[in-house]
Amino acid sequence: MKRSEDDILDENPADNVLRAALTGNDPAAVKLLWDRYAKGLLAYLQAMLCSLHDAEDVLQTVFVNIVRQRHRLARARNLDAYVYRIARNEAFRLIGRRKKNEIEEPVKESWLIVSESNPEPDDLAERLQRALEHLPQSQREVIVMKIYGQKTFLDIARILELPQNTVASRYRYGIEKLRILLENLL
Amino acid sequence: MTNEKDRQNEQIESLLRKARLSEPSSELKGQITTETRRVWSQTSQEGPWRIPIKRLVASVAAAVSVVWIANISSDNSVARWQTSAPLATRQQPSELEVLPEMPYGPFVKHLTSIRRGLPATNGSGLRRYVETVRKLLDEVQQNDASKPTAPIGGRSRVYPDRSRSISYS
Repeated sequence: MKRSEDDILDENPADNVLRAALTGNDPAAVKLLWDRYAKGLLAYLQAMLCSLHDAEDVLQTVFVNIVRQRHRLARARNLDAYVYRIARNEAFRLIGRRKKNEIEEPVKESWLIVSESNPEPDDLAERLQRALEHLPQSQREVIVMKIYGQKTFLDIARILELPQNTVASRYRYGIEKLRILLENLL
Repeated sequence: MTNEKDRQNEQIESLLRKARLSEPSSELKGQITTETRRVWSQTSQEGPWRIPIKRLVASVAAAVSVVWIANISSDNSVARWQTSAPLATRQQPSELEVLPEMPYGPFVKHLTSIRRGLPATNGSGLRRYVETVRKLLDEVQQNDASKPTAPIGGRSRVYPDRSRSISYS
């Protein structure tokens, strides 16, 4: 359902600033977009693709697509959901190409980092990464957004356009599976 | 049991929090923002007013191509029934008099000749026409009644007398 401009403009001020920049064809919108989305999108894409290298490639495509669709984005009901939908579509496109063997499978690289000061086993990042890779993508994306993106269930539900209960149950099931997979670390 | 699970789930959460994800590097930022600005300047030359026009043109093109494809597929699907020369044609008789082998042929001919002579919209003419038709039908019925009935297939319609039948008891 299309909403009137008055409905759209009653949201938070950051949204309105971004919408105004996008509508006014102001190139400063690129910086606003980067500051607002780059970190979260890269984390999300890493969770989707299990590869930093691929996530960086897709991030560039996502930003280019956002700019191309900026007039539509400015009229979108939910800016975050629109941007993450673009990212999700691009990630699925890459996964599809991987399945068709159009591109090589990602080299096993570490996309999780454990800070050196942490007195944890050396292979903790690798174990966590392997366990996360075993989760279904729908559960992994919720866990990554919650733990590493520091988003609430409400935020995630808005971004993924899902009911909050669905998001919470996906998180719970994912954590349960991780508990089984990482039993020896507990 | 549930408490134990909850405690372990919390441990998993804290274990996950010990790790972190890579953040976008400044190099990546430079690369992406440069590319994005380039695309921005390319696309800003075409105003937003062009978007509905583009959509309209695309819709018209899509509609034309759908009609064109439908025509082609329709032609292809009926092609097998279209031979070079038609196999049979239907001939419309120009005169009712030439109708061959029609039941009650003379009656129908007479009827049409009467009908031609009468104006269809005239009330008295219509009444006269109905009367004439009724007379004709009476004549036909009388003729049918006066004709002797021929035995079908040469067999007699006289049923055998049952009283004379031989009993096998």
